Amino acid sequence: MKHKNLLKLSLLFVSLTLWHSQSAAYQYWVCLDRDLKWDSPNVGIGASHVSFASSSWMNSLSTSVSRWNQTPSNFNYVLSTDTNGVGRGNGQNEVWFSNDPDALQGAPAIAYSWWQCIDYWIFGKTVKMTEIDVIFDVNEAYTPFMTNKSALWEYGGGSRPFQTTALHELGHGLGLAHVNYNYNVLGTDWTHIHVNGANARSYAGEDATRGAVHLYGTEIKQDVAASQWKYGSASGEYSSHVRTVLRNEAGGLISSTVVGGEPVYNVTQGQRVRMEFTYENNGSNTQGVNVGVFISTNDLITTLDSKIGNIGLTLAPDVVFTRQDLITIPASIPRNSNRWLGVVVDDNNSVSEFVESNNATYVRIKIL
Amino acid sequence: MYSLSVKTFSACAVILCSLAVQGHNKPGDQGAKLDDMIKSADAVVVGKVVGVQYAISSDGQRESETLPHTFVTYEVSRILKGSPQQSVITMRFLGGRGKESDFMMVHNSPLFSTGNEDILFVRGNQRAACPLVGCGEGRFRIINGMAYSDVGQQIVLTKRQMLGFGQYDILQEIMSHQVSQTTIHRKIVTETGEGKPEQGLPIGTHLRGAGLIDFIQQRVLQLDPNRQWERLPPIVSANIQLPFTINLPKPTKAKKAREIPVRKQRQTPAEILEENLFKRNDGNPVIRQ
Repeated sequence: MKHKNLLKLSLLFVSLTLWHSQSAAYQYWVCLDRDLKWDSPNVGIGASHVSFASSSWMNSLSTSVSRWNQTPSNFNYVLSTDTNGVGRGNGQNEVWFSNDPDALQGAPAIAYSWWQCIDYWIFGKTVKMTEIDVIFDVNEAYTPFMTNKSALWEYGGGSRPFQTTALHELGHGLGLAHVNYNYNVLGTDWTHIHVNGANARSYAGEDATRGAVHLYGTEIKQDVAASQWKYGSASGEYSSHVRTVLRNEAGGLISSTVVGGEPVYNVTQGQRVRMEFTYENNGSNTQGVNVGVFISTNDLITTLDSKIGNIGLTLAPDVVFTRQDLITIPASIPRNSNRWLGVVVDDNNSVSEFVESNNATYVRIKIL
Repeated sequence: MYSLSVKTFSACAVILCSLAVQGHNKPGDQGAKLDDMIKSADAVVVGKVVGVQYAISSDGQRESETLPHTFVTYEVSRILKGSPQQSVITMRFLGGRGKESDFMMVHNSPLFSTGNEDILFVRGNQRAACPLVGCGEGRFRIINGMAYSDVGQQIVLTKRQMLGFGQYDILQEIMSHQVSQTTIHRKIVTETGEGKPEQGLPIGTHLRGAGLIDFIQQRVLQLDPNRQWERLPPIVSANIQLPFTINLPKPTKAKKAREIPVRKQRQTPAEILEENLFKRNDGNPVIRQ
């Protein structure tokens, strides 16, 4: 929320980022030197009418499908309700819940894909995906709801967001493979999430979007975003993601406690801190944007909050960009008070985006 | 955008004091630590792939599925847990080459090629779709004498003498797989990013394959000092000549979901106004005053 006493705007960084480096990004499968993908970018997929009888689950699946459809790739899932009975290898793309332990092998969900890969030396090569099926474990602690982050893992709750797992598995349906070296929904899914205020939001993310664009071509549309998560480490075949952090000016990690599953960093009035967030360009074109830095009295970051800085960024659609920026905690904030340090990417609405609700996020601080 | 040649890169180096946390599962809930993996395995064996064959399950019953399977035969060189009377084992994995040019991929399941040297935590052969503990997590590769995870992470020994996952190496043996007459490979793409890629610090010494085998053997002996596990029955190999059936994982109704309302904190009038304007703005945080 806005701090009326904090009208002074400290312009800290107006930096065009000049560091460019090579990063490993998305992965996919290749056969006979051709990408394994669908012939057509429009792929029908049926949700079992048994499993998805409830509108809340169907809506949740539909949202995950729409997240892939809204990326700037030409790929498009067409979701329907399957009433004919599901099965693997029946030539139909299907999604369902099951409790079969031998099929699920302890996994919360599994994607099965079918490919054709053959070189008819007279007629040429046939390389394409022909079927995708996804089975979710009905006993996993999924929730279809994203309206209350406190119900979710990592935010103090006991539920796994179904939408993020569905996005992961449906990503295999595009032809994307697991990633364990980058912030990517094809890594650990439930920590690939956007949060501002009480709500959480699932999304495909910059890296996987680039993979989709590579496989199916580009549609011109724009989206920039900020996240409080970043790449952490590799955990087997999956990347694990960790919260972005707050450091002191020298780079040391600031002490913190955990409240409601979220870190609360202990800072002092006027302290210079290194604020870390992840910035993404989920669109088709490079964008020069202003990132407004705000102090809020709650976890909802908007431009109505008190602005304390600006960061100039040039975000290309490639791999995610986690960066630290030096910010001064306003000396006017009373001691023993809680605040949320947040950013709003494109805080002047200069970019017309297909999603505007993923532009802000926060880290909680306590003024000692 | 560039394709990355087969080389080592240090995109990650990771501390995991226990091995094989299944990334797709929440760590701590279902993540199989090394001791848990040993305990839950029917057998732990070291071997070399001497045969990869494909067969399709029979359409035996009304609720069965005809699906491609891969039969992987290992020549066993060492038994770390289980009956010492096992010199060859054939395991059956869901997925693989089907009719003509079809291939079925199970996205958490390993792929095998003749000549692969592995340490395997076997469980549920001929019953489970993937007869390894944690599926791909239950396989360690030995490539050029060094120990790797199924996906190419170095297996390291930390200063505290714990096993961990280290640097991720992109190796030909990890990225490419022979499927019948065709080679498929995983292509990793590099992008020019705005910032320096995240890198972890080396956390231990990359183990040789023999070192990892010895480490696991020591853990087995500590967990089973009386060598009871040596009396376990040998793993019954899958026989590709015999018909087999696979049941359809039946669809079940998703559990009833309850939406937990947001617990409202006491809000100031300004905060209430902000929240209302935010909702009216469809969640766009840029609110014109």
